[in-house]
Amino acid sequence: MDRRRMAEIAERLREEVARHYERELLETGGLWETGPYAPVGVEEYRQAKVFERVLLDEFAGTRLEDFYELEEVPTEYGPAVAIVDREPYPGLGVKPDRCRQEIERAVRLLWGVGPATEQHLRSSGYRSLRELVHHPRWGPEARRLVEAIDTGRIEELAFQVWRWYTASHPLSMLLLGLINPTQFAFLDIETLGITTEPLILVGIAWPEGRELLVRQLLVRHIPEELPVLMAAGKSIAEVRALVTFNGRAFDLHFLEARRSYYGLEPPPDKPNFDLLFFARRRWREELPNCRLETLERYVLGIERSLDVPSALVPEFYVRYLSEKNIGPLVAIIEHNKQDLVSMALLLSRLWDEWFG
Amino acid sequence: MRPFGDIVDELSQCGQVVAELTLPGREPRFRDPARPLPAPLASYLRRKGIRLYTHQAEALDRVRKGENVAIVTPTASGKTLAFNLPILERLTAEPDATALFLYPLKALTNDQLVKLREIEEELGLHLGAHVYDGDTPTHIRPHIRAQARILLTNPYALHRYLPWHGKWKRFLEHLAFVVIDEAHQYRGVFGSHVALLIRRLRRILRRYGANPQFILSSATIANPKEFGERLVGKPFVVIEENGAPQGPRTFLFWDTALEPGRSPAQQAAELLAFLVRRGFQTLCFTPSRRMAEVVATTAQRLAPGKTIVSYRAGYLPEERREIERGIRMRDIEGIASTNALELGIDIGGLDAVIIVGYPGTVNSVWQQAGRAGRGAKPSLVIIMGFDSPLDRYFMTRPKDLLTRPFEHAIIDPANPEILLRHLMCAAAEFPLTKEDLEIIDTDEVMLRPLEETELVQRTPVGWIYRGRVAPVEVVDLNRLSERIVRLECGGELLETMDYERALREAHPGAVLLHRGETYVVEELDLKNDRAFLVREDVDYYTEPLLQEEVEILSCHERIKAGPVGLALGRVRVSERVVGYQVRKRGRTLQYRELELPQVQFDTEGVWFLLPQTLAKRVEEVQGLHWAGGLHGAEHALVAIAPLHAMCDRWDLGGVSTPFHPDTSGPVIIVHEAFPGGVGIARKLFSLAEAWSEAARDLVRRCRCEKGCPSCVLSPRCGSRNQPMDKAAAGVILQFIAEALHGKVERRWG
Repeated sequence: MDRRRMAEIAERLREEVARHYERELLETGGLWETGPYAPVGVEEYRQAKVFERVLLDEFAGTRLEDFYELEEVPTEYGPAVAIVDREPYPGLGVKPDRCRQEIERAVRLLWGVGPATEQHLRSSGYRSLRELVHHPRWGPEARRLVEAIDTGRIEELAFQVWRWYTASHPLSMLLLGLINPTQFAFLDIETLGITTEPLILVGIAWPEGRELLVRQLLVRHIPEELPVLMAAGKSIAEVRALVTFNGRAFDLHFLEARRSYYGLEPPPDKPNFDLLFFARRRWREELPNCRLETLERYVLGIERSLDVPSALVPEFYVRYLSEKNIGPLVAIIEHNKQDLVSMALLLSRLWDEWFG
Repeated sequence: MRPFGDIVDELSQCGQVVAELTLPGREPRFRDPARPLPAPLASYLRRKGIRLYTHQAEALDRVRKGENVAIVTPTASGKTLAFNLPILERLTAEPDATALFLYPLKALTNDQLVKLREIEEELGLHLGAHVYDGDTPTHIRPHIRAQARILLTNPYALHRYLPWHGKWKRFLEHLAFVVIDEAHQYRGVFGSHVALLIRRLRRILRRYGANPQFILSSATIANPKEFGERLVGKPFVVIEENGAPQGPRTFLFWDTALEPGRSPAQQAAELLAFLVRRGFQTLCFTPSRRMAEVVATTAQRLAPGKTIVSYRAGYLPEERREIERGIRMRDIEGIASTNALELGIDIGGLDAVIIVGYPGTVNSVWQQAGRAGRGAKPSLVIIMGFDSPLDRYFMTRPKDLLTRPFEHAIIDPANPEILLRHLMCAAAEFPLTKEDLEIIDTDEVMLRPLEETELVQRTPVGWIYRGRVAPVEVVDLNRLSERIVRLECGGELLETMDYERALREAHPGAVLLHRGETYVVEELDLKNDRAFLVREDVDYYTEPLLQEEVEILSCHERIKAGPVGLALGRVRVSERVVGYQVRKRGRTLQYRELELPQVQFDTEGVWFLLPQTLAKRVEEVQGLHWAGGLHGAEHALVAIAPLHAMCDRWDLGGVSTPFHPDTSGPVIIVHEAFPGGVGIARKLFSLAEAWSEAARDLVRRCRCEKGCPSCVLSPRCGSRNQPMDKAAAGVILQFIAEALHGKVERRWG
């Protein structure tokens, strides 16, 4: 087999992949309408490339460990590396008792109780699940639900709330108030593509009092993807709930797909509270769209000065690898960190609005 | 016994019947399987009055033994039952076992689903048979993934779903059978892609611990064993002896050229109407949808009171089913159709079939003729010849058409253009390991170029795909080259075409056929790789005029046959479309010039090295034109090639010259039109003896004086068929055929 010829063919394949990526980038912005990223205009692209150049200059010769605090997470497939940091966090104004009370009022969680029956029950004097525990028909189920509320078993409750009230209903968010804030985590990933391409970064942020502990598992080079997936699985196993932005449609499926690629079981199944659903419910009428950047700007008042657009993350990553220069990678890391921070702020904001 | 004797006599009076041949009928041959079928299946067959033919019983026996079986018998010989029986038997005995059925067209998957569901119902089984492809609604997909035991799909869908194998664990783990129906459709570029797709599937199956049997069902081809092995990568047992009955068939050869005043469509319509009026249910195959419509409408006018319709694959499924039912019920008495009805759609047998123009392969002739005959009743097949070289060839040697061996189905999964693409896809399905490479019939060396272009990376767990775009988005099963042109009409994408092919077939002014409709190319924007088409009903067609230069890069094999050298190797083709012809009914109306860039690609070619002494003989002794003879011989060789290798006119090109710098002498080069080649050149090399003989006969037996489109004149010749000397071409081809006689071993098939 002629080596030169094969090299030619591979070169053309590479070009084809690049061309396809560009077309998706500029025209369609990925498979799904709501993301994972917005299409990039020509001017935005140009600016991003200028930014990339600046980063390459700035970070030439800098090592990752010089710039960030790194932590090693051991896994069966070798260590995974995480960048750790802390960011301020306003927290949720959670009053657990009040949460419990609110949730108890959701009688529609009972199988067979719709709005009409709810009215009927109310006029008969039943306003909460607790009041129904002795009801001839719904007693046993009400008792089970009340017990779940008392012991904070949000795994069960989430399923019921999403089924009877939808995942965007404030009641769903209220469930987060039933558990200790350290028991849920924000999750946002960065990837090289949307389906069968490798992972770049898994960003997880835990509330710790007035701070957010941010841990970003990084794939420094492709062979590290497997350890990162293992470490991410471990982190997910340790929490009781995840808060994501579009995670239901993207992040979790992606992690599952990559784990399946390596023959690993899917990540542990945890209730996923998707901020996109809540945001849409709250701001859909007021804003042009509900992308995180849009919400940041108009709701949180945050304007990112130098940032890599989500759609260009793959390109920046490829540049980092080929130039062996962490500059573009730093932009990705900071972008992801800000995503996590914004998600946390958004949750607080929604919480204040709905339950403050 | 002369079935249809009166009809034939009447038709012969028109003076266009050049031959009449009757093939005797054949009694059915039945056999019982080695072990009886389980009671439910046995009683089902009894209820339907079905006894198993020999080939069906053999298929059952062999599949039960665990072998990979290729059933290669004609259409309507009961192939579907032959493989459905053992599969149903196993799936009822093993409650977890599953089966995958692959069809080249979506239309067929739906038809087969209907059949399977009927059997399920009859037998009271619940096998969960489902079609799973792009049309399957999203909300039922999880259910199908969880429950289905029989899946029907097509290669395009399979290609896109393989990366999601994790969601199909249950189905794949228990996969007992993979059925590849209409397998002969998988040839050329498409077939080579599918061969690799199947290897990707096998690799995934191995990961889940499954090792299903493969069952191939194909129309008759010359090389079923070789083809099966190339397609799947496993050895096959071939079942070819057809036990189904066949009534006597009378073949009439009708020369349309003998009545130049009426178009072939007109003549076909008249024949169709004539037969239908006499009460014979008749199917007429035409080369295009447009002709099918014209023939149907005209024939209907000529036979009022009867029902004559047209049929094509582009109809909606409900429409097609209605027509198919009408044909089965004999409510529809006449049909004009494209070759869509060649495929295994069940319409029962008809009394007569008209074939308008040689359909391109002997294989197709038999597929189409195979529609004639109900059980043991006699039937009539009328083959109408146009004036293209192959049609002429058969009009003058009708017996040859009926007795000649079938073509070889050709694929080349080792073509690096295709292989590298699928290696990329495989690496994105799960990490590619060295053991996997064995299934794909390749080795590490092939991955290096992909590593160097950073499309895959080697890691401790294997090679991982690391591109930014999913490979299945970038790999198209019908394409070879990387640069594609999008053909758009009214803002919508009609199809995509390889760049090289687009220059030839989608140049400004070109007439294109897409799903049976005609379009004209208004503009070809090569800066953005787009062609803009308008839908137009035109009655002419276009042929590009190509000028080319061929450089010989390397030689794989060479045979010295006396004074002639025959070689197979790698060539570099530089081709330029310099203009095109506007043609109607085989005549050129106009030549138009074009300014298009040159393309260059490397591919496989066969060439004939000739001695200088032959030049002397031709010029001095016979007073003929040497270069003109070489030119004519080249055209004849290209024109007749499809007789042997299953390819079509776009698949080959050629050059000839009295002096080629790479051979320092006279040479005729015939090469493939696809970068990398798909095995056609190799096949022609192995059949060079028969090939050159056929080319010689084509030229020598042509009754024209100085050359015509039926022998040495090529409609695509960039130099407008100059210089040309038919007699010299005949001498040269005779020389080659004589020299090669007995010297070329048939290595394949």
